[in-house]
Amino acid sequence: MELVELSVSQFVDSINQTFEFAYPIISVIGEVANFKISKGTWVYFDLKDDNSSIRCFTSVYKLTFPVEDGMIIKVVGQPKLHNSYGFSFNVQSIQPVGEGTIKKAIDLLEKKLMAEGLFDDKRKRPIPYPPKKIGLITSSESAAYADFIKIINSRWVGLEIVLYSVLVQGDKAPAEICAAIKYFNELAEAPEVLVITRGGGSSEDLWAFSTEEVTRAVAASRVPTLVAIGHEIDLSLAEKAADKRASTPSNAAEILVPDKKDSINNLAQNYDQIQYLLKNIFIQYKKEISQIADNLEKEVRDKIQKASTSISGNSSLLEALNPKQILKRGYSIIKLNDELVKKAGQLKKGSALDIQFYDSEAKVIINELK
Amino acid sequence: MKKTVSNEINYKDLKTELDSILFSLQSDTIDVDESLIKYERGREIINLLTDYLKNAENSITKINAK
Repeated sequence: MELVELSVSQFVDSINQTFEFAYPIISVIGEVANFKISKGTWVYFDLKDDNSSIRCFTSVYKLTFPVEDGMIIKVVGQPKLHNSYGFSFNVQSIQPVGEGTIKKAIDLLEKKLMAEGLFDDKRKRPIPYPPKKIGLITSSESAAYADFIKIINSRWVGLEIVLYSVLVQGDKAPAEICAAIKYFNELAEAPEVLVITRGGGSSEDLWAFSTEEVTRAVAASRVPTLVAIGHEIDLSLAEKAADKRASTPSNAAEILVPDKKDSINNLAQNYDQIQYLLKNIFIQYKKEISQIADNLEKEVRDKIQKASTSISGNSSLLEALNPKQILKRGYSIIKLNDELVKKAGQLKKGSALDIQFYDSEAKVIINELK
Repeated sequence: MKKTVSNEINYKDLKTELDSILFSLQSDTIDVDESLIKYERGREIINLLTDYLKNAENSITKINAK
């Protein structure tokens, strides 16, 4: 067998070609040691287990959570033999592994984002109730999607639901979820609410919803967000950054829209109510009209009474002025040829006079004038 | 894919109008003519909304992640 002789550079190239062929991309799990960030940009750490250790290299932009020594992580990337610095693993993405590390990663990230005010209550916006258009971000294959649609269809109508189907776990999930949030936010006719949901799972399954990029995207969404990740105990950071959270996909649907059965019942009650109110208005007006009629009658009665009193007064006065009443007192009326005799100069001897007494009349002839 | 059958109905606007009619009918100052007009409109809205809630559907469109 002939021995191959290569230059150092040729050897490095050959090894890298072999790596690329054997491991175009691979994920490795191990414990972090000697973690350090150089010049605020370059990240170096060792990944080790009981027997081995490899040197890893990446940039701060690939860190989706604060990494510390002792954390168990999964790195995805390519092995590389550098022409000056030797072997390193070029990391494309990092995920925490195991409940302990995931919890630690979430705690550290939460502290950082909380300090920035991402979870403040004052940032929470109200969600239109019920919304007309909903942007739904979940996997179209998931039970979460089926549950959400089933409940929302049973509760409300006339909704425009736009589903952006994404991976809800794994390395690619955070980027897809962020792309979906961006898509809805850039629509000319954006939905009134974004619902981001998935069912329950292990802490690793749910990790995407606590990554920095997803949490920041939720917090920055111009469209109000409702995040429902199907577990109850520890909230994901995306839920904390959302305007509202729901406990499950079904609960999200219940929060978003009223139940149409209740609404139909309420409308039936409204029907009874407007009939009752109209009836009351008519009763009220009837009372008022009756009151007006009573007042009118009283006015007329009063006027008649006044007129009657006045006439009665006039009548008494008239009676008092009746000349016949004066005759009663002993006076008489003397007429000569139907003319009243008011002075003696009207008379002469032999004049025939008519004398009217109170109760009778008499004719007399004047015998003598004095 | 289902389509909505009653897109022309704006539930929220009509419900707001109905609530306002109920409020007006409870006012002491409403006159008979106005109350009759509002009553008829209220009945019309209730029928529209009830019919809408019983017969309309939701529309669902789907976009896949690239």
